[in-house]
This record gives sequence, C-alpha cells and structure tokens, in this order.
Amino acid sequence: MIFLGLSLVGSLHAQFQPVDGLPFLREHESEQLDKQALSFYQAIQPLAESLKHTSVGIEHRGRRLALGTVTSVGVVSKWSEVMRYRDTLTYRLPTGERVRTRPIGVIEEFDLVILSAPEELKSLDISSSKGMGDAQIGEFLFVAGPGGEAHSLGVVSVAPRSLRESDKAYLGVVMDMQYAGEGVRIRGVQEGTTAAKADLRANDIVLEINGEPLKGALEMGNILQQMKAGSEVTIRYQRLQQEQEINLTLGGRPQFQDQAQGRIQKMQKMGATLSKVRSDFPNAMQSDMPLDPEDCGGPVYNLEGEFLGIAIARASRTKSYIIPADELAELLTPQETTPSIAEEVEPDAANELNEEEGLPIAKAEIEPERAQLVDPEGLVSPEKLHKLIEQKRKELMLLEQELIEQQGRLNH
Amino acid sequence: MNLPIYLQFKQTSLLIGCLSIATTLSTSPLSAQQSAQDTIPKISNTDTLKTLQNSVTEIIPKVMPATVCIVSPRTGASGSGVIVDPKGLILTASHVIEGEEEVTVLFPDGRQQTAKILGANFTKDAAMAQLVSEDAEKLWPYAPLGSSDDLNIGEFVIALGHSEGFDPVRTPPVRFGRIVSMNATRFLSSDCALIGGDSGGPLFNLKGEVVAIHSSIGRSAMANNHAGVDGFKEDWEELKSGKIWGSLSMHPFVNSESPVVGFEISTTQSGEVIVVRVIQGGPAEQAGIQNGDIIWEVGNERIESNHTLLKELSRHQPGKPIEMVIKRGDVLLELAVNSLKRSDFYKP
Repeated sequence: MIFLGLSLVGSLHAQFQPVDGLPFLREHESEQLDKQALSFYQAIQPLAESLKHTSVGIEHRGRRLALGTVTSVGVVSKWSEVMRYRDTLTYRLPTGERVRTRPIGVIEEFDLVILSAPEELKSLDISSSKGMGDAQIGEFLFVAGPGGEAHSLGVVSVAPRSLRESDKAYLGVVMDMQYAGEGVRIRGVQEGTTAAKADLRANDIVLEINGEPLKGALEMGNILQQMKAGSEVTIRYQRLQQEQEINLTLGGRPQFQDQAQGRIQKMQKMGATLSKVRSDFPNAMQSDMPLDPEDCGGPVYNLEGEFLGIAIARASRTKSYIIPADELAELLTPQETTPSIAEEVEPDAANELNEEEGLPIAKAEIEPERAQLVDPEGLVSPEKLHKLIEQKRKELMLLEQELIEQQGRLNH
Repeated sequence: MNLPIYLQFKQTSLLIGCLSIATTLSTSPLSAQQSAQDTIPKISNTDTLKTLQNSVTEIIPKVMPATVCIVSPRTGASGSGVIVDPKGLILTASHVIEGEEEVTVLFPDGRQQTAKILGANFTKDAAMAQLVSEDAEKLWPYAPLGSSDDLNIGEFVIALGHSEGFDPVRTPPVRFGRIVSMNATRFLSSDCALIGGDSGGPLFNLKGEVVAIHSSIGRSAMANNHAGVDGFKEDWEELKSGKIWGSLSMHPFVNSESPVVGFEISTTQSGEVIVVRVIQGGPAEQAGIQNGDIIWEVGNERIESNHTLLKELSRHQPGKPIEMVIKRGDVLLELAVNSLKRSDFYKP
C-alpha cells in the first residue's frame, strides 16, 4: 500500500514526471498524494524510532545487502541476499561501532541465516519490544530500520500459511472436468498414490468427502488441498450403481511445475524488484508492503509495536512475505538452530572491525571454500554431500540470475 | 465543485476587463491546488492510523465472503467478481467473461457454484452474472454498492480479488491504498497493487461499499485501473437484460462513450489551446464558443496543452454540462458546455 513514488519524496518540488500508466494523474494532486504518503511514514516514525535497536543493516563493503533482526541467539537475516559475501559481512552496533559478523547457522527452508552477535547486542533482542503480536487480516505493519525509520508500510493481506505444495493433501485422481452430473467422476488414478492403494478406479463417482456432498471437480480439488498431507478422510463414492464408503490417509501433493505463465510472470515484476528466493516457505504471512529486496531480514511490527515476524521476500507486484513471530520463536530455540552448511563460529568471533568503511578485507581472511566441504572426521556423508551440491547449485543459480538481471539492465 | 473564485466571477459579471483579470488568472490554478490539499486526508499520528486500521479490519470479514473467483469452464482461465445483492447478482469485468455463457464461481471457502452470464459493456469493461441455485430462496453473501462519482483523490480504498488465480489455502489477498486519479469513461486508478486474476474483483470504500471493479494495470506499481460502479449503474437494466455491446479502447482518452463538445483545436505559438473550427449544431456552438477562442480552464483545471484539454474533457460524463473558462481577446468567459457521447455525435 501507499507507495512513495509518484515523484520521490526527496524531490517533492521537483519537475512533475508523468507516471507510466497514469495519464490522468494531475500534477498538483500528485504532489498532495506524495505528502499524504509521507504523512503515513511520519506518523509511524516515533514508533519506528523506539524499535530501531532491534534492526541492523547487513553490509558488504559499505553496501547494504539486507536488514537483520536482533534476537537472543544472534542477528537473523535473509540467507540468499548475504550468502555471496558471507565472509566479509559487517553491521553497526547501536553505538555506531562497526563489527564483522559471520553465519553461525542457516535455516534453509525459510532462507534465514543466523549471524554472530556480541552479547551486548543480543540483549537488545526483539523480546524487549512489546511482545509478539497475533496479526489480523487488514492490520497495518511496517519494517523497522536501524536508523529509526519505517522501511515499508502495508497491511496483512493473508493469514500465515504454508507455501509448499507438498504440505497440501493429495489423493491421486484425475477428475473429469466435463462431467455435469451429481458428484465428481474420476477419469483416472495415478499409480502409487492414496487413490490407487484404496482401489479407486476410473468412472467411480465421488459423492461426498467427510460427509459433505460435492458440487463439482474444482470444489473437490479445493477441499483436498485445504487438508494437510497425512489427514484422514472418509470418501463416499458410487461404482456401478453401488454406493461405498472408504477411509483413507492422504499423501502429500507432488511439486508441480511452476504454474506461473509468461503473462503472470511479466506482471509480477511490473513496478517491483523481486527477491531472488521468494517461494516455498513452510510458513509465511502475506502483505501488500512494497518491500525492497535489501529490506528483507528486517523486523516487522504492528502499530502497537508488537513484533510480528521477519520480512523475508518481495514475491510479486502485489505481495511480500513475512516469517511469523511464533514460527521464528520455534525455529530459534537453541536445539533447533543446528547449523547445516555454514561453519560454526563462536559468537565472540564477531570481532571488532577497525577498518574504515569500504576498505577491502584482505583475501587471506576469507575462509577457503574447501573448508566447508570437509567434515571434522575428514569424511563427507552422502546426505551432507547431497546437501552441499544442492547448496552450490542454488548459489550458482542465484549468480546466474543476477548476471541475467544485470545484462537485462544493460540492454534496456 | 465550485470554488470561491468562481462565485466572484459571477458576481462581477461574465465579462472581466484585462487588467483586473491579471491577478485573477494567476490565483485561479492556485485555488485548485488548495482545494486538493483540503480534500486529501493526511495522517497526523499513530492514533489516526489506528482508527484507519480499525475501519479496514472491520470491513474485511463483512465483504470477503462476497469476493468470488470466476473460472471459465472451457479454458480454466480465471478472474474475480463480487456479489452485490442477496439474490446472487455478480459484478465483474467484461474481459473476464468474454465468450462465456456460463462460468464456475468459487467462493473463498473453496465451494463452487454455477453462474449465468447476463450482459456486458466492453467499453466500460463492465459485466454482470447471476448465480444459479436449485434453491430459489437461497440468500448469498453480498457487499452493498457505493458510488464511484463521489470518490475523492486521496480517499482510502481496499482492494480484494483472487490474485494469480484461486488458491484454496489462501483467502483473497487484501490490499490497501488510495484513489490517485479519476479517468475517462468512469475508470479510475488507485495504488492498491493488482495483478492477473484480480480482474473483475471489487474495490471498496471505507464504508465497505463496492465502488469499482478491477480492470487493468500499467507498468508503474501506482497504476491500477478500476471501472467505477456508477458506469455499471448507468447501464444497469441493459446489463441485466443480457445486452452485450461496446469495445475496450486502447486509447486512454477516446472511446465510443467519451464526451464530445464539437470543436476542433490547435495550439498557438505561445502554447495556448485555440479553437479553430466550431462544428455546426454541436454543443460548443450552442454554448456560444467561437473560432479563435482560447480554452483557458475545464472543470477548474488550467488547460496548458492539447493533452491536458483532452484529459480533462474525457474525465467528464457525456450529457452533463462541463464548466469551461474561455479567453476571448482580453476577456475571460465562463461557460457551461454540454457534451454528447462520441458515438451519438459522429453517427455513421
């Protein structure tokens, strides 16, 4: 919501620039709209100021890559945005002092990294704010920045949910979309799925799921997807005029090809710069806040100053994702933070950095890449190797994407 | 809206000498600015924000059940729609139901129902459908209709819709924003970010009334275009009776329903917009506009180019008088000029 951008706030009185796609925008009204947008940010400013100690800017040579949220286990940030420079990351303490930081844990499925932090910073963690909020749809929220400013403003668009297809229940039938009679006719059954095990067959007509009569195929698909993988259901169906009832345990939905078609993909990027990693989070709240990728990792608050979660991705023109506070509380309990890839580094290793801002960090200090490939025993387990390959593949993909984006910019 | 400056115009007679005008001229655009300032609400502190937030969170549960997804049974393509009466009348965008006789309607809870397509006016991207039920007495969740003509620039609005298609584990995403411009043929733009799948979905005012239907987007994240419900109201009976007409123009200003006053214009060396031909029998002639007149203001907005003239004229509704200020020689004249639908003016 509320974009600051008709003409940027910094240049309120600058020459009126026509906005692409808004031929009817009047110049004097555009100025007023800018001031109105600014008034939102100004109204939130005192609250943002009181929460700035829970946010840090994660930098590489003076350039901000992401924001970080101060927690009792370290600074939590967005892994894919900082991964490339993981050996040369810094942030400033509230005192203004710049410190070096290193990954001490990664939670890959949420694209989160835990960065080392000195005790003095950890004591300023988010739990020192007004507690955790339970967000309501339509509630206003913002990302608090380290300078006491609100970074983006939005409303809760959708309550927290899993974005993973595999968390949705799956029966394993192909439904006949042309069938117009009562119930839903099965056209085919996929091998190895719940439906096959339960001996459902082509031409069976599903009449009820859990006692609820079905109006059509779309409805049946929706009801199944609303259930979690592993749920038990009772299905009433008709075969050769005989009605039967069976109890089944549903499987998980296979990962289908990304269904976003070309046109939607184009629209997703209109008026927005998207995060590189922006899908498949196991638990995320959706907001319309126009999050910039470099504001990901920052703490999200409501108007009461309650912590709602960590901004994790700008996913399209219309949506940004936030990892909810209660999910984080669970993820960050010490036993859950087993570092998967990154080298474990003692928190004290967050050495003070006595370099001038922007000074290149000596190459010798960068951890040799190989060090991460070897287990303490000198052996690499197949699982770990597999994970590492996955990790490297992901990194390569991100680099490629970045390269393509850069080239795209040059070509314009 | 009548500004005080125009009351003065009227009191001192229509003809004003050159010298006395000089000051009036420079203050008139300024007064328009002040009026905009007055009508655009600003946020002074977090309490104002919380009040605003509370009206948003109160409205959503009331209107969300009426925000439906519309799926083409032939192609599987989807858009959105909104139920506006308890008997199941749906408003949507014409491009969502183009070529369909019947569609599948999905409710936010995942349930499905069939709807019959009624009428459509493609010029306004407006369409109507009727939910079909075995139970004739069935009452549907609905959202009340408001007015789009009454919207102000900067007024807060809420957009709902089934973005990027129906998702059974997600309710239609809520977006909050403001009206940023009033456009031609009762279209309007807001900064509630829209995307494919939202088309046909509702835009609500802070009373929870449907004020517009999502239609299209521009490149800028600010450019989200909606068809105002007063355009639907104007065509209500025809839409309900199943009439299908019009065509969506690619030109933002000109279509068969945009207003025409009946003059041809050019630009003077100093950049003013000058009338070069008045079409006989047209509204401009009837209002007394003559060749050589300079178009000074339209609807209180100063006209600085052909582009602004076209833009300001096309925001008006045909059939309603447009307030214009004409400069003839050293004199400013205030006129009310009628307008006709382009399709009525240029009859084949």
